Amino acid sequence: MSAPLRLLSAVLLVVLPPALRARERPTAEQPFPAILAEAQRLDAFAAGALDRLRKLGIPTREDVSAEFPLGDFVRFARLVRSDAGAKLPEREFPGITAQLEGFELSLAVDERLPHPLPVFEAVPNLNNGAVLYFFTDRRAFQGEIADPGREFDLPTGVGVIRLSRLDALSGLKEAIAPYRQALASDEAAQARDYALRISAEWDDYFERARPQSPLDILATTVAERRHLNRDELVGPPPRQWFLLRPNVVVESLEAAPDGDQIGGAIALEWVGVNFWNQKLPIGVSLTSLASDREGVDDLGHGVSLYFANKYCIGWASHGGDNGFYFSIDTAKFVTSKRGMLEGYRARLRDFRSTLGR
Amino acid sequence: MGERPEESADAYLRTLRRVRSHDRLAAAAPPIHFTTEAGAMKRKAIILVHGMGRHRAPEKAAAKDGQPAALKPGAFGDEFLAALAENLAPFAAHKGKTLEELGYDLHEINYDAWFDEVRAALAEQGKDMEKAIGALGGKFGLSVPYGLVEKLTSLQAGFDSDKFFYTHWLDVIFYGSLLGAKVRAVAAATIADVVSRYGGANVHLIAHSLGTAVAHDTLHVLYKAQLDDDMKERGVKPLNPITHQLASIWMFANVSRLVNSVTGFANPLASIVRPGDQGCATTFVNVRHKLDPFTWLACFDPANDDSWLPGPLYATAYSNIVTDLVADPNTHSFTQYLRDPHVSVRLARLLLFPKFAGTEQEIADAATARAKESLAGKYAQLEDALENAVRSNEPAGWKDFLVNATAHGRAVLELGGKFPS
Repeated sequence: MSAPLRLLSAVLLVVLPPALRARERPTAEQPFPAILAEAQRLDAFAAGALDRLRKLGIPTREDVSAEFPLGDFVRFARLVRSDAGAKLPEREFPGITAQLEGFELSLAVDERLPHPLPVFEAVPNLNNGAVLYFFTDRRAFQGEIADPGREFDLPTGVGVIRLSRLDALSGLKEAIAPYRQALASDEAAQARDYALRISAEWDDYFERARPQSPLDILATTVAERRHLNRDELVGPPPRQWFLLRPNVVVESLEAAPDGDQIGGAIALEWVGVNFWNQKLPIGVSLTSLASDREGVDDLGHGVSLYFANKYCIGWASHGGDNGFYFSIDTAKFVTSKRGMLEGYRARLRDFRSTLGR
Repeated sequence: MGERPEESADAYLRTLRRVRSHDRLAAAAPPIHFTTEAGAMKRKAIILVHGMGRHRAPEKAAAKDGQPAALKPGAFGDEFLAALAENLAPFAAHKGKTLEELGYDLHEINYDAWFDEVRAALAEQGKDMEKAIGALGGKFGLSVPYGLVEKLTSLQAGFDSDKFFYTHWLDVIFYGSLLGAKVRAVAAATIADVVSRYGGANVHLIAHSLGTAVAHDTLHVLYKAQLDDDMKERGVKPLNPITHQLASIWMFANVSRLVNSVTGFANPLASIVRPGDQGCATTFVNVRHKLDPFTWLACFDPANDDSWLPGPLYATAYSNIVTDLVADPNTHSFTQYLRDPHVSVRLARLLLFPKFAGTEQEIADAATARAKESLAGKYAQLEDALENAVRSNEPAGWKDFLVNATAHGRAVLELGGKFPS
């Protein structure tokens, strides 16, 4: 080949759209090269657009859509209809014409970026061994062939290729599939990142909120059922609920004899709620206390308040005698630091020595 | 193609690192293979979701020959791979082929490892509370009766027990609680990641027992045909049932309706988890054993009356396989399900399509061999025992569910000793 001819063919290779270049080389392996080339061009364009947009942030559908020339996708669907329509005769593939027209309609819903983006599928019917073929958004048009291995003549414009019906369907599937690969992949990656964000919110809940016993978890599940059963991925509820929650507290009872006014008590939160994710997390519980002081009722009833998901103060009436108590949430302490018991004892010692007991 | 799979995987791993380190679920999500752009889409993926009970999570294997570290399959993955190898053995064209050689990568959603951590944390919390109350009582000479408090804390302290209730039923209870929402978030991240890198049409999802509820509920919240304005405003990012349609969903011993009847979360007969253009999968296969009582309660068995699927779709995109093979007294076992040729041949046909090359003779021989395993008398023996033990009515709640399922377990255990191995 002379130098000018070589130059001309090189220029043509660059200038001619891939669809035109590939149109001449259908093979038994890929009978739809023009469709494949155009699908790959669309995909490469989308990939480039997404790369540019990602530098500015998370691309929205509107951002991506604006990048595409008007009618790009519907032109692709028209190419699919004309090329595949000419090669796949209706007598061999019942319903294929309606399917291809349906695909064109589907991609014409938006003049730039249609939504959703269907593909062509050929799958086995597991109930009878036949092969089904359809575009994924229009199953009502699906076709079925019982003898997919039967061969037919597929016209290519430069002759015919003899191949099985199954190979023809597989070829069309492979040719169309790439057209929205980058777009579908990007959307799925965004869905993944969104799910990870929700997952991280739960991690935050388990790390920062008040630790819960199994009963508390069930109580929160029941009380927050509306939130948890929403038809979407949900993060933790804004409230935690507590039920029959034991705790240890230090209580000051003025009515007790001198020297016995400060003492330990076991608290039981009958029911409580904690707004764990506020700027200042706050909670309130109906609480009873059991203590053992001379001259004062053993049982006291009152309320406790929780701050910052761990610090608790409270009041209880022991048959009319006021008791005030505080606690560092034991369970929280246990979860976050080992050797909590020793720490708690030390704090009690400190507390008592401070008060001169 | 936009974001290359390698870049996507790196971004994913970076995100994972931001997630707390105790998150075993998410840590189980990284793929076994990172492949090239072209290769990634040519390879296919199987996502497994295990049922209740102990299931070792996938672990990272050591990197070698410059290749990225792969994940060693977890317990459920091992079960699946062994059963698949056994199922392909009768077919000369596929015998001895590994999943990798067949062009598939395996991904597992493992929630049991995290549930085990929660159980251990709750037990530790209970034990420490027991100690704290005891110590405080001793220090201050508390003598008031606090039986209720003691009971509550000792109950919780037993959560790390190896008893069947704690290792199995607690999984169901945990999943039905708010912990289930966290499981769904991590499962959704795994599914969306796999779909992002392989393309939905190349992804098959296989779930067993409680895993069917996890898979159903996750897909139900992950896939949305449309978002309402409120969701758009909050930046919800779903998968689209058409754009990201999965190749297939396989539900073994489907308890999604049973769990839904208790939790009230997403009715499986009205959700997006169905085959076709109104659903999120191209093909949907439901497999149940006639003698698996877990599937008797709130059985997933949609009628062919257009209520779940239009008739033509029901006949082509949905398969309901009812097996009666009894090779093992545990009729709920995942591997027993997979051993039935009605199941295994369909699975091979779909996974290897269009290259499944089993001959009719090989298929018939496999069926004959399996029928021999299901020794005469086993079925009737098991049927009698189960029908005596289990009420087959719809469960009224957790209590009925537990009573029925425990009776099943007992019947199976009693029969196990009588069965020839």
